[in-house]
Amino acid sequence: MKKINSILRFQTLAHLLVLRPIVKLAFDANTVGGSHFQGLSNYIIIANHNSHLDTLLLFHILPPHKIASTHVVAALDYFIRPKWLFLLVNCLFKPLWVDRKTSGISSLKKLQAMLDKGHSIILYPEGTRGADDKLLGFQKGIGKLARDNPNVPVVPIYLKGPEKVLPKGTTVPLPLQNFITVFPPQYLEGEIDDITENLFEQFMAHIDAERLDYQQKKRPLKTPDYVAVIGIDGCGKSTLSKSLATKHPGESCFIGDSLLFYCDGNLCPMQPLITDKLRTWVGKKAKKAEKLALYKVPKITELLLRDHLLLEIGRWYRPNFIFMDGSPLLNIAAWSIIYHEDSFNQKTCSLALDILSGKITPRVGDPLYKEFRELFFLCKMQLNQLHMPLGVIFLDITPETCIQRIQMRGQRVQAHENIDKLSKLRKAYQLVIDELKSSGHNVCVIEGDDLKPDRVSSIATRYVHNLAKANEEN
Amino acid sequence: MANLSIYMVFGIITLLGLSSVFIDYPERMVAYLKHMWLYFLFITITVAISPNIGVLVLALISFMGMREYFTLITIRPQDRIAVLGAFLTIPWMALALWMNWYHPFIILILLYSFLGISFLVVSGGDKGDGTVFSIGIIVFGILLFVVGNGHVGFLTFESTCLMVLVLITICLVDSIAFLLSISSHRPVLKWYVTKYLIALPATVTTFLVFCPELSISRFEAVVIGTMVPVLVAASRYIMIHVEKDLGIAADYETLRRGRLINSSCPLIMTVPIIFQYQSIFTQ
Repeated sequence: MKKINSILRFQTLAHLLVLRPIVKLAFDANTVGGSHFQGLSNYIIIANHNSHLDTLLLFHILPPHKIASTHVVAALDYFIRPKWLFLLVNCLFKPLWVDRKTSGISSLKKLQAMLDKGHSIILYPEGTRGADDKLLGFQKGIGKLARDNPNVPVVPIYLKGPEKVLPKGTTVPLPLQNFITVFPPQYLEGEIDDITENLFEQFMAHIDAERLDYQQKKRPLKTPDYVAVIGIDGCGKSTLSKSLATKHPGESCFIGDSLLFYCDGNLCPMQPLITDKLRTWVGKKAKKAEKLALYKVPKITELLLRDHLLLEIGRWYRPNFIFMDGSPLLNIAAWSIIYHEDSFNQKTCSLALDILSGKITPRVGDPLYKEFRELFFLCKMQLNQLHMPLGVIFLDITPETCIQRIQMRGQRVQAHENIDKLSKLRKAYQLVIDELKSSGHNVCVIEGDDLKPDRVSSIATRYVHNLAKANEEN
Repeated sequence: MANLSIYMVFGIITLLGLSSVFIDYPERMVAYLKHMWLYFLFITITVAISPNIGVLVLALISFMGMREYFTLITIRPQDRIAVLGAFLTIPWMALALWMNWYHPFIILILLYSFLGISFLVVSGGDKGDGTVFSIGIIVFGILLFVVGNGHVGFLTFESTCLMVLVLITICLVDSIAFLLSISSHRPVLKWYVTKYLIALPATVTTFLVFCPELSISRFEAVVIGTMVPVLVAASRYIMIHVEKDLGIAADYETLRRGRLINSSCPLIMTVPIIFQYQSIFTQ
C-alpha cells in the first residue's frame, strides 16, 4: 500500500507517464544491473557526470516507488535562472539545492537530514560536469556521507552516452542510445579520505572494465577460471575449497554455502549480490527437504543460480580464480544416478555433460529426453549453458567415513545422506571423473580416508599452482 | 484482398516457424526475427488498418535505425548539427509516403544529403579535418535508414504482395545462411556466397508459384527470385566490414548494440533495387 501511494504522486506519475517514454524513445536507455536496487530501502547513488541528461537517465532506472523519495543534489546558482526552468526542475526532481558559494558543510547537513528521513540521494562526486567521458577526482563529501551512514549503501552507476548526446556547452540533445551500468551496492567503513580514495579507485576499475566491454575491439571480458572441488557429502570439499581460496595468491573467491572474497589470503569485504542471497535461501530450502523428491527442484535451482553467480562475480569482481564447493555442471550430471539409476551409465553421463554444457542440443523427441525429463526441461528453458571448470579436484572418500563425519557435525541429516545413496553418488562421481579424463580435462583425484587434512590440502594446492601456471602459459 | 490475406498468413506462419526453430539456441537469430516482425507489423497495419498509421511505424523503424547508427559512429563535436539534420529526413520520408509521391522523395532526399548535409557539416565549426569523412558517414546513414526504409514503404504501396514475398524470402535466405554458419555439421563451403545462393531454388520457386498473383511473367519471377539471394549475399558482405568498423561484434546480443543494423540491412539494401526493377522492367 505504501508503495502504491508513493507511485500515485504527481511527480512519480509525471516520470512514469511522460518522462520515461520520452527518454526511452529518444535516448533508449539500456540498463545492466538494475536488480541491484532490489531490497535496498535507501541508498546514495554516485555517478560520473558529463551531461545534464545524467539526472534524467538516473531517474529513468529507479524503481517507481523510489522516485518521490530520491533527490538529486543540484547547484542553485546554475538553475535559478530562468524561472520556468527552476520550477520545472523543482517539480520533477525535488532536488536538494546547494549553493556552491557557501560552505560545503551546510550542504552536507541537508543531505544528512534527507538520509535520516529514509530518503535516497543522487550525488555526482566529481562536483561538476567533466568532458569527453573523463572521470575527475572525487570530492570528500561522499567519503563523509558514507562514513556517517555505514548502513546506507553507496550504489555506483556508470553512464555511457550522455557525453555524446548532450555534452557540456551544448543545448540541443541528439537522439542517440545510452548505456547505464549499475554496480553492486557498497557498504563502506573507515576514514573519509580512505573511503573517498577507495571509492574512486573501485569506480575507475569498474568503468575501465565497462569501457573494454563497450569498445570490444579490445579483449572482451571473460568468465574467470574456476576450480571445482567435488565429492560426496561429508568428504570435506567445502573446507578444502575454502582453504585453497585463502592460500591462492592475488584475488580469489570461494563459492560454497557462503560467498567469500580473498585478497592475498585476507578476507576482503564483499558487497551483496542479489543472486547470492537468492541462492543461499534456495539452498537452505533444499537442505530442509524431507524426501528426495522434494529435494530435486530446489537443488537444481540452487545449482543453476550458483552457475549464474560465476558470471556475476566475473563481471563485478574479476578475481583471478574462483574455488567452488562442487560444480553445477558436474553435480547435476552425477546426481542423475539418484533419480535414474537404471539409465545412468558412462554413455549417458557423457551425453549429459555435453548437453548441460551446451555442446549439443538433442532434437525434441530424442529418447534421452524420455529417460531424463530434467534435461529436456533445462534445454527448453535454455538453461543448458553451464560452465565447465578449468580444473577439478575429486575427494574420493568412502561413504562410511563421510557418514561418520556428518554425524560428528551434529547437524540435521539430509534425505540423501545415507550409505546407500552416498555409495551411488560416489559411483556417479567416479564415472564423471572418468569421462572428464577421457575428454582431456585436468583432473586431480585425492583418495584415501586416512589422509590427514594437511596432506590433502598440500596435494590440492600443488595441483592448483600447476594449473594456474599452465593456464598463464596458455 | 483474399490473395493478400493468404500471403500474410503464409508469411506469419513462416516467420513463426522460423522463430520456433531458432528459439532454442541462437540469440542473434531471435533478435533478427524480432526486427523482421517490425516490418511485418508495418505491412499488416498498412493493409489492415491504415497506410497513414503504417507510415508512422516505418518512420519509427527508421528513427531507431538511425539512432543506433549514429550512436556507433564517431562524430566530431561540430557534426552534431548535421546529425540532427539527418534525422529531419525522416519526416520528409513520412510525408512523401503519405502522399505516395516517389520522385520528390528520391530526388529531394538525395539533393538534401548531397548539399544540405554537407552545408550543415561545414557550418558546424571551423575545423576542416575530417569534413569529407563526416559527410560520408552521415549520408551513408541517411541512405541506409531513410532511403532504404522509404523504398520498403513505396514497394508496399506499389505491390504489397511482392513486398511480403520479398520479406519472406530474405528471411529465408538469411536464416539458411545463418544456420549453415552455426551448425556443427555444416558443409565445407568453398565460397562465402554459397551459403546464400543455396536458397536460390527456394526463392525462385516461391516467386514462380506466386507470379500470377503478382502479375509478373515467369521470366520476371525468375529474375526477382535470383536477385534476392544475390543481393542479400552482397549486402551481408558489405555489412560484415561496416559492422567491424562500427564495433558490432558477432556476440552483439550481449553487448546491447547494433541489433537493428545487423537485422535490417539486407532488407533495406535489397528492396530499393527490387523496387526499381519492378517499376522499370516489369509490365
